[in-house]
Amino acid sequence: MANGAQHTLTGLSGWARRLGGRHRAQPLALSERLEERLQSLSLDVAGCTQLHTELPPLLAPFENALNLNGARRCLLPLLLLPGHGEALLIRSPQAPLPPGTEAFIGYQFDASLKNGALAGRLQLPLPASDHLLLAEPLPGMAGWLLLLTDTPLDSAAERELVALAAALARGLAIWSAHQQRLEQAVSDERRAHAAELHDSLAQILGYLRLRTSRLDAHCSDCDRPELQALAADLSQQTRHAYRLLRDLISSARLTLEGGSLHSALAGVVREFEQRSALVFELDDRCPQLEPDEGIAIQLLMIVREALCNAVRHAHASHLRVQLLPDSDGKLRLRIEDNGQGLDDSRRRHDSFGLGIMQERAARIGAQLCIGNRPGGGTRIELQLDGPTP
Amino acid sequence: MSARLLPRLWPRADTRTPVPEQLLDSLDEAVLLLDSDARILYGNRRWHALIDRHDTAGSQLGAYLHPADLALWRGLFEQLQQAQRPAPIWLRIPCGAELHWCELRAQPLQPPHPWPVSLTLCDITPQVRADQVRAASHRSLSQLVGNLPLMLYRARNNRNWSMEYVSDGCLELTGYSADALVNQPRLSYGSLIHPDDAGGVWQQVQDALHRQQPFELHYRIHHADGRLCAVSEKGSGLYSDTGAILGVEGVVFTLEQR
Repeated sequence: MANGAQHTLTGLSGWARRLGGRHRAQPLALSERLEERLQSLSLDVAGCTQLHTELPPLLAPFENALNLNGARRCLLPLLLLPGHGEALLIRSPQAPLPPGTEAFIGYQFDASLKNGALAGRLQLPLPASDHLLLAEPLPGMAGWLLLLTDTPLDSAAERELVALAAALARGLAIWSAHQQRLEQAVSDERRAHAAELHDSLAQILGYLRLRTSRLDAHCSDCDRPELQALAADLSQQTRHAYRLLRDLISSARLTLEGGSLHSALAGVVREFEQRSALVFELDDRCPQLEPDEGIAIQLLMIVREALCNAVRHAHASHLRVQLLPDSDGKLRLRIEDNGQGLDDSRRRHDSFGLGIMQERAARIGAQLCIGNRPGGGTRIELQLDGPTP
Repeated sequence: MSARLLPRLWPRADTRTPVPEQLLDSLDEAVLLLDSDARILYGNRRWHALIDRHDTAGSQLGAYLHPADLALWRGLFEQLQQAQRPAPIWLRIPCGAELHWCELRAQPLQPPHPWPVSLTLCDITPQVRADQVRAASHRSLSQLVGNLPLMLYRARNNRNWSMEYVSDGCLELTGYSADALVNQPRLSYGSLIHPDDAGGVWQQVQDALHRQQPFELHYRIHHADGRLCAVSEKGSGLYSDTGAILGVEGVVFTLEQR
């Protein structure tokens, strides 16, 4: 609201008060105070570090300030943050929602948030309840300010809700820009670190790997078993360390090509296709499921490892990467080849790679199964747990 | 739907003629009938076997296609809406974790009425798989040849050494791209050879061809960047069964370090 308008309002409210109707003057006086409080809300939101814990207490006073006499109400920001596959519903743990509310919100708003198609204000009755769900778009952001209430808003309360959404959006815009700068700085630092590792430690470890392997070969010719065991162990551990380091470097360098798991996956398959005579098939059946960036990167690293193993050791002619939707909307990644399958000797040979894949899966809370494919070959299957609430 | 629709379309002439539905079910191609909303009015037995479901009447065909092929299908459907006769398309139909590649053709059932349209889906998975294997082996070979740090060639036996094919290694060796050297009247490989060496090269190759023996040459070429570069070449002639010389082929490389 412009300054001139504020003055007029103050003047009006003073005039109204002098006329004697204190109960009539109340909403106008409240608006003025609300303006100030909204400004400080913007600042507080901009300074948040953990949105989902810090935002509910910041919004709680406004739930009471809204001009809803005694009605039950709850404010719920719903945001699609950059780099996240699912919209984030911010809710206070102290205020329980009617059962099914979250699923209803997800169903109603998910598609419009992801497609960037935010219409004007929405008002939806909450199924199996006497509550209304009012949704005010956050200007300039992929998000809504939702209000759960059992009383329809009057025009004053509606105005307040719009002002609240605008103030929240202002704060979030600053917060989001700050977060992006932080993430960019972290990612730059990580790459610089990876480049340093690559130039220093990886060179030395690579050299050690060659030397210890030679030492191992020499010792296996001598007749001192304790020396043989020592050299074999040294060589094995050095190889392991080298693999871990290379993996660390490549994952720090990896970015999500095209900004989505699906385009990046196509990129990885193309890359391997350029370097072998195998037939690659990418069967992506859930372009609408987009996991968070962190999860997507781990998935890509698992696919890379699996493809690399298949090209190097599987003696396969056909490789298939599938992203399949589960009946409960979860993502399943399957990589299979028609090669010789996993026997125990190969399992040992690849043990570093398989171990690294298992660790990556565990890091994103996924189940990874490595086994033989019915009909011959290897099958790696990864079951992602659903989107994190 | 099918029971009501089909007898009207194909009235039974006599009892020896097979019932149309029997005929459709006997086909190895999936046959579908769609309305103007792309909803399935009828599907024959092969269709239901293809997708391993029986309750498809009334649902949209798009629901049974691979998500990556939906745009292709919508394109074809738009052509049908504009009463055009679309060209066949290849698309994937998921069945469990497996995929069937199908060639889809569509045409109006009773022209000039645009709707309903009849569709045939022919399972071409084996052909597509064979194509993929061929494409992969071709891709692999051309990448291998392209990445080699030398130039493979096939040329006509003339003093210009007009090239029919040179590998991508040509760029590194001569400074000219493969396209610039193949069948270009302006630039020929012969013109790159140092004038003092060109006569010897021609003579040695002709001697070898005459004896039907392979040849090995060492000479200098002008690199595009102005350097004079010493190269080695090994090659042999291409002969017809009657001994006529059709051309020469071989490999040119340099031992110089750039």
